[in-house]
Amino acid sequence: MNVLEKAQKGNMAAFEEILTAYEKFIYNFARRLMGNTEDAEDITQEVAIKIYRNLHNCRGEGLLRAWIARITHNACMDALRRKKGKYQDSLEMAEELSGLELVDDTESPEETLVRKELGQYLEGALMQLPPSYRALITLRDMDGYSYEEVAEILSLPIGTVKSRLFRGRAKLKSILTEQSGGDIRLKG
Amino acid sequence: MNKKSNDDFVNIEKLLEDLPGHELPMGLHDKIMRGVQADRRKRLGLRAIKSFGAVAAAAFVAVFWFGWWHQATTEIGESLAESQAVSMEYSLDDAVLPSLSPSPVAGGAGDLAAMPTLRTYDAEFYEMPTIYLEDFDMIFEKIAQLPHDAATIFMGEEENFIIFHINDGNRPQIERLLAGYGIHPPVFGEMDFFVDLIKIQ
Repeated sequence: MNVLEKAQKGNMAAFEEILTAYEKFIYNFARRLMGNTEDAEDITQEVAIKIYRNLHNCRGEGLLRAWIARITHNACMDALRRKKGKYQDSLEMAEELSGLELVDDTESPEETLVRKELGQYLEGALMQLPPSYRALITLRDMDGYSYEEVAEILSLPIGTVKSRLFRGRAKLKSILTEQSGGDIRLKG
Repeated sequence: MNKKSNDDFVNIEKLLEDLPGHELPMGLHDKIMRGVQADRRKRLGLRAIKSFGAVAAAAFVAVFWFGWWHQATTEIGESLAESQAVSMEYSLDDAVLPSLSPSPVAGGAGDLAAMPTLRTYDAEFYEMPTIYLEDFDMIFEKIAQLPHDAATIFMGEEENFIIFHINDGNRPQIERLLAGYGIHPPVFGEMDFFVDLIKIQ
């Protein structure tokens, strides 16, 4: 019996194992869609309870990752709809999101600084995209979900996923270039 | 802004891929688990409340029926009942249990032939099968998916026992479901069965 089956039978230790494996993803996905830590924490808790309540609907361990992503996405979209008109401005979001640890032992301190700056710009630029594009880019480019998985999670045809992803990346590049005053030149 | 000297261009896909995630805030995991546990308890509590009305109604019917049954058997079939070694020594609390039978014995001496079913209320019957709370949770969810009123689940006041009252139409399905959890209800005709609930939290 795998961990999902155990959790489906009500085994709390198995449920906690699943939660531990996915909570960081849930939190980060929510944080990128919501744009702040408080909402991300609330969403993470809400999603955990939804997972617990609906675990019997998950049809296999292989589908768990996409299933959890879908629940998280839906919870974020619901929360964003509720908060419509109450968005933090992107600068505030970017400032909050800039507290990243971009550490790579092989880099020189100067390179680390450059990467950190790029990361900050990128997080800021990402927050200026509409939530639907943010979700696409986060799932595909940051979390490595396949096109098929992204399509399933967001309930979109694969063709739409690809075209929106293309447009999202293009918009992101444009925002990034503009924000950096032309200092960042992007490939493609 | 500074850039890498050996590469004037930045690959945005690579940049996105390399962007590290945020660590989970300290204490959030425990907070989530507490929330889940609280939700679980709340749901069990709601079930108990939902079942309260049914239990109260059952108790009323039980007391009424027990009174009638006691009177009928005393007046009509005392000697016959003794010869069949039927256990009839119930406390008032025990009286609730027979009420769950959907087939009360009708009046008249001839109907006392049905009395052997009452043997199921003997003390040996209280050697109940055991179920874990986690399993009960799943069983409840699955029963809830069956057609309406598939079964009534009565929960003890302190959640230390549950009683399933299965509607006959759903009996095969529910028995299969329970058998999957190693629970084999002692079925005697149309009798209900009793399950001891062990908390293992």
